[in-house]
Amino acid sequence: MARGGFSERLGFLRRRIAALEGVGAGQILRPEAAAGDPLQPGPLSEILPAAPRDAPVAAALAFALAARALEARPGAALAWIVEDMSAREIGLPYGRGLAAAGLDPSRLALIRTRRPRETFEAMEEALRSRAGAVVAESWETPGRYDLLASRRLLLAARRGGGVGLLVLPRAAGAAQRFSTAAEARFEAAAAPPQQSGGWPCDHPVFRLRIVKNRAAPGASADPNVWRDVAFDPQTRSFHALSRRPSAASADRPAAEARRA
Amino acid sequence: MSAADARAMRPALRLAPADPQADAALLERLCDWSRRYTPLAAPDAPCGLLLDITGASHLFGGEAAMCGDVLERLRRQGFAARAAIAPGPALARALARFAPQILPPAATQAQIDAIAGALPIAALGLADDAPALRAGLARIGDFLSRPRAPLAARFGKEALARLDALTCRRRDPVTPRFEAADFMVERRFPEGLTAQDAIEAALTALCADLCHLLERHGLGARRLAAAFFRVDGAVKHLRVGASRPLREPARLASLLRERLAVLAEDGLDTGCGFDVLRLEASQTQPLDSAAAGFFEPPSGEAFEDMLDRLAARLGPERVLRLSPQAAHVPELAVTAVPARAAPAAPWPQEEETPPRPLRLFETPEPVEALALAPDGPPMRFRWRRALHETANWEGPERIAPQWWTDFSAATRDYFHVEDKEGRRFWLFRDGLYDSETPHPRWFLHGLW
Repeated sequence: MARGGFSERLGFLRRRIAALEGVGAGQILRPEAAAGDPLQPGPLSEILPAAPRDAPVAAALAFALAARALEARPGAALAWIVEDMSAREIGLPYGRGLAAAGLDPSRLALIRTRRPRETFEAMEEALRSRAGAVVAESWETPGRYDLLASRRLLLAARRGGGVGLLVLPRAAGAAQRFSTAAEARFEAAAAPPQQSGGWPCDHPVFRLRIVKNRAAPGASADPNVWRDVAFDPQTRSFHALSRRPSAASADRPAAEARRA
Repeated sequence: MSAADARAMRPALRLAPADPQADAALLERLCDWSRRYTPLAAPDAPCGLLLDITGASHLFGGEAAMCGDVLERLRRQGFAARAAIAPGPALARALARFAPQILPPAATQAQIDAIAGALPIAALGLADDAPALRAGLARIGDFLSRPRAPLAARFGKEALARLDALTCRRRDPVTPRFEAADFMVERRFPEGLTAQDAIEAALTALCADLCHLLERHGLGARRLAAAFFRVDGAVKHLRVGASRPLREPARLASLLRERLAVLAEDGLDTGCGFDVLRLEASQTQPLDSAAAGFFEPPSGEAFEDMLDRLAARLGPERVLRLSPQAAHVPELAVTAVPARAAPAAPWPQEEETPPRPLRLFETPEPVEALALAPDGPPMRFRWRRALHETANWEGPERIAPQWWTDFSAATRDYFHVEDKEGRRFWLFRDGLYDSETPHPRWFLHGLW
């Protein structure tokens, strides 16, 4: 090629790289791109529990984020991938509970895998098949889940246009100690009971912090701040919690609900 | 004859204990093998096979050549066999046992009677030959030459029915061991396939052939069964399913490849190679021919295809959909059904529901709980060696067992409990204190 073509080649390569990275005019606008909301999951997010006993809370947060993502994509389906280890530790997703918490279980497909490798392969396939959201729970050690595996998942999620949420209960407490290609990482713990009101509670409630979130650059989130959030099943949105909303006592006479 | 007498006659006799189950299993395996000639193959206890080769013999170079091929292959597998071909199954069975020969399909009734007449009485297969022998009838021909009414009066109608079947006046169909699929394609490889990619290429070609066949009838395949016949007589089967009828060779081939990839790790034991590959569509559904896809399939179809692929890879019982059931017992209120069996049914909208956890254990986990009152909530409980103190509780929700199916199950009182750190549990007490059991136990059923 002529010397004069050097800058054209550079420009061509820059445009190719920009297209691959998804930056610029060709970027898919994510439906839930509300400016300033730090809880945007992005194509791939990791959700870790703060302590090993908070694993069900982390799974509940993943569910809430997935339900909200599905709200913005009518007709899309949710693929939930559960390892056998996860079923033994915290149980399987329960249809009636999911329905009460705001997801129509007929949009859900449950995939049970045996090993972490199967989980990641299934998650990649599900993301590529244009599922609205994919939640995967893997009892994989953070050492084995590295940049390479997360980069594959991220590319698959970008191609499919869905939301990938990976719950890693073995990485409890190591939220800032391992680096992956995921765009967001949340750490979830159980929100402590409140002194007055807030019981009985039928909304999922979490205490979480946003360790990193590159998918929502507009929002500034301090990674050290813990905030209490509740998920509203009716509107499928999060709202910050100063007081926990207590459930309407339909079929629950006031005399039945007590505080010890 | 007892074993001692037999040994006395032939001192070098080898004896082995009888194992009728192993014999039956061997016969079924041979029946599987014999399906390489025709799908209508049935075992004929205790040591025979019955094949319906109507219209198939020309594929093997004629009846005599086919008979010789069968006997040669059986001989190579180590069996000494006799074979016969006849216009009817009962006659073929009798000839194979007593007078192996090949009867042409165009044999007239007189010829059939002549040949059947030469067979001994045992060919009828009556439960008891003694009455016929006492009456002096030694051959089938004696039966045939006598009027029918006295025979029926003396030996019963069944004897006459068998006689008719033997002389091909009445033909019972062969009940094959496996139902023959309506749509079936096969290919034969004289040299035998051993390489994995050769097998995959052959399967792809077979899928294309099958799709041509299905297109002519306007059907799509929901379930495929592939059979691999090995040169030494073993048969391997592969089954895949799809959640919607398919007629594209690429999709069918990819499902088969997924299943093959899983098996290749454990060993689709090719041995000396496969010489017959057969693909059949065991379940079909009508499929209108839409315009050939220039566009990508809509996202719903891509998702279903992904579920089919994962089901082929992980097993159909691992890709599930949740289906609501009309049961009040929590573990029965939702069942997980394989995704390809049921389409996604909509869930009923319920306005006021008691609290239900997001996660449910498949079997409730026992906990040690301390309650202040025998029918009250747990104040503290120990689960998996960790102690939890109750901060808030809600309940009890009394769920009675399904008394119509399970007499010994106990009533459960469910409590939604929050501990001091904010974690929520769904516990139940199994059994009422006074009326059902003196020591009710506590279990954890779900988590939030």
